[in-house]
Amino acid sequence: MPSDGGKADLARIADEAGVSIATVSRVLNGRSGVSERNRLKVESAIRDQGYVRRTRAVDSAPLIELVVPYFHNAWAVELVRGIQRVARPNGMSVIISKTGDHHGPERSWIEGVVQRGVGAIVLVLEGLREEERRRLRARNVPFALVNPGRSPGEDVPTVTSSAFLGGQQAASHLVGLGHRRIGAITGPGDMLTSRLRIDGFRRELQTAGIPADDALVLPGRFDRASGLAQGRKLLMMTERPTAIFAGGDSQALGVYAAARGLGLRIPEDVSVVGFDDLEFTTLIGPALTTVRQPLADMTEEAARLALRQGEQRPWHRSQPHVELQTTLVVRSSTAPPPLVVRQEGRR
Amino acid sequence: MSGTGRDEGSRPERTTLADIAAEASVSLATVSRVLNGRPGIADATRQRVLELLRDHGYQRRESEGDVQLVEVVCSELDSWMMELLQGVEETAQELGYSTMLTETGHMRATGRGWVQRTIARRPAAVIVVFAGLSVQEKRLLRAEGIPFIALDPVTCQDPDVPAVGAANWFGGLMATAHLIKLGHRAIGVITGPQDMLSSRARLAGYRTALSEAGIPDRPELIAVGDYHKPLAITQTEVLLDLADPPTAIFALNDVQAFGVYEAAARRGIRIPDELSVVGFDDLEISELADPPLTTVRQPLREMAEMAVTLVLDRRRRNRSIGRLDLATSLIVRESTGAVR
Repeated sequence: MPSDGGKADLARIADEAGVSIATVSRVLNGRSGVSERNRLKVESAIRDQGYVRRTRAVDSAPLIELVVPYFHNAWAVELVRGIQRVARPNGMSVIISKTGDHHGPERSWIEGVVQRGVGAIVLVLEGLREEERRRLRARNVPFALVNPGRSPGEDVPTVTSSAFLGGQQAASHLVGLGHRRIGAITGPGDMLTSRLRIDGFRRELQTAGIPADDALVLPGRFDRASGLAQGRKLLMMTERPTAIFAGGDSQALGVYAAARGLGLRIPEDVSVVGFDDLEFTTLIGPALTTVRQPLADMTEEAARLALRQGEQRPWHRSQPHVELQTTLVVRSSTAPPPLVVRQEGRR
Repeated sequence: MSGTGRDEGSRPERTTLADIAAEASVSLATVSRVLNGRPGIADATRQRVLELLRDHGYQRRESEGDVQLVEVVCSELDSWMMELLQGVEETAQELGYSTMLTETGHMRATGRGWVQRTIARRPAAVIVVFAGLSVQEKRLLRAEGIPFIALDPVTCQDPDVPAVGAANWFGGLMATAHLIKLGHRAIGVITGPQDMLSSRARLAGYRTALSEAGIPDRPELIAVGDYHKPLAITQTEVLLDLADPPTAIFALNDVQAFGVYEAAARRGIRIPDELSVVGFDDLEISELADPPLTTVRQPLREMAEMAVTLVLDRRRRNRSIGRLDLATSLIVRESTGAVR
């Protein structure tokens, strides 16, 4: 079993590798001046003995770890950017862990965190299991959550965006343009932020006196493929919606592709609103109207809060929950519905 | 976009090392040696075990041996970089490594100090993306036995640094030949930074295509860009203001092609009716531009996979790698048309 790295272990490793203790020490501390051959011998002995280097790294080569469920390009860029704003001035680097699902990291993840000498963690996940929270605390690794599915407890800093308001903003904009028949593609049903977006959207339609039509709300994921598949379904309806609210910008890309495939023009035939405001929204044609969720600001804030908590001894029980505002960014993918245009023309 | 739908996918079942050993008909010790990159195993055996480990999605337990990190050192982050990073991350994860990102903030000169911090972390390998390595940095990494590779190298001054890139010269040639075939003679170019290998190679391909077609070089048609959109807008305006303006513009990356789109839109110039535009990269969104962009596809994902595989293989076998360029291809969409 791994030992705590005392002198006796160094001697054993040196003995097995047939080198001096000083050489072992140089290898362990990542110094130069050791031949490749000796380094390999020492490393091999270290592995055999299960020696774990003391986590000196926490002070000398600190990392901020970003944990994400998946790695959608433009979305992940924003998340990493925010972390970099905190990491770079502090001489820290960023490590990215992908969990493959949004509920939590794999069980082995935590061992890596400890070995890597992580100084703070920002998790863009629904939550973190109690056991993991306990183990991170036991090792004094502070962490913060972004857009969690439920409150992770008052002792965990949390950053969210006003997702419900964002859904309302999207609906309100489309209703204001005269749309009545509005389709929507949601994010995963088991993610709180995606439920809030669609709930806000529905609430706003209700407020405007537009009867709910569940046939126009299709389930998706936050990706282009589901935007394409569900966008096609919506646009091929006999009485197709005049506008579509996509749960995320990547999904909106899929809706664009669906419209293009069916020979429909945006916004003349169908208006599209996204959510996130990723980098590409101004590069596609027409530029995408979207609900801006300040992702980089969110991870930046989360990283700051986590690092601040790490400086507190002992950790304060009550940690901040910061909610950042979403804003509607109107570009060129939304316009009055075609029906209204025609009616006005007849008058 | 790949990497999607993961949120609903299932994880591969956990396979033990004993399962792998049984399937490969070798001892458990052999599997362990392969996993830990030790010498003394026949290449064929090593290969078989590695393939099985990979097929079973075996994740090396992180408490075994070194910290399992692949460190990506890049100049700055953008969507383009992220596509490479995604390729690195996925390949590394398949092989049981975590990916780390160090951003240095400069395209060519990497910031000082990163190499010391990197060495202290002892990553399994370093992948330098779109940035140069100083003599000192190379020396330090070599001394520490940390293998490194350049992904889309910025310079050809480093024959001793293994590298994975794209066939930039040939891409430049194909793009230009496509425009010539459409009847264009006055073809403008918006380059990348002048000292960057990718830009110089693409421009050389452009020049070769012109000379093959017997079209004389017009230096005023070559505008220097920086691979970003704002300068591309300005440079497009300069090109369009020429007494004999180009009928087509070859932007040496897609982001600059969108700058050409914007400059054209501001002047009410229609693409491709009045101006043809070709890009380079084929970003995810390029087919959704208005009009969809004709461009040269760089296999970013494959380049990233190749770099990770080669550099980790080098670590295992201590074998030197040369330089490798993956093929580029012309994707004709709707931003190019016959000259009027």
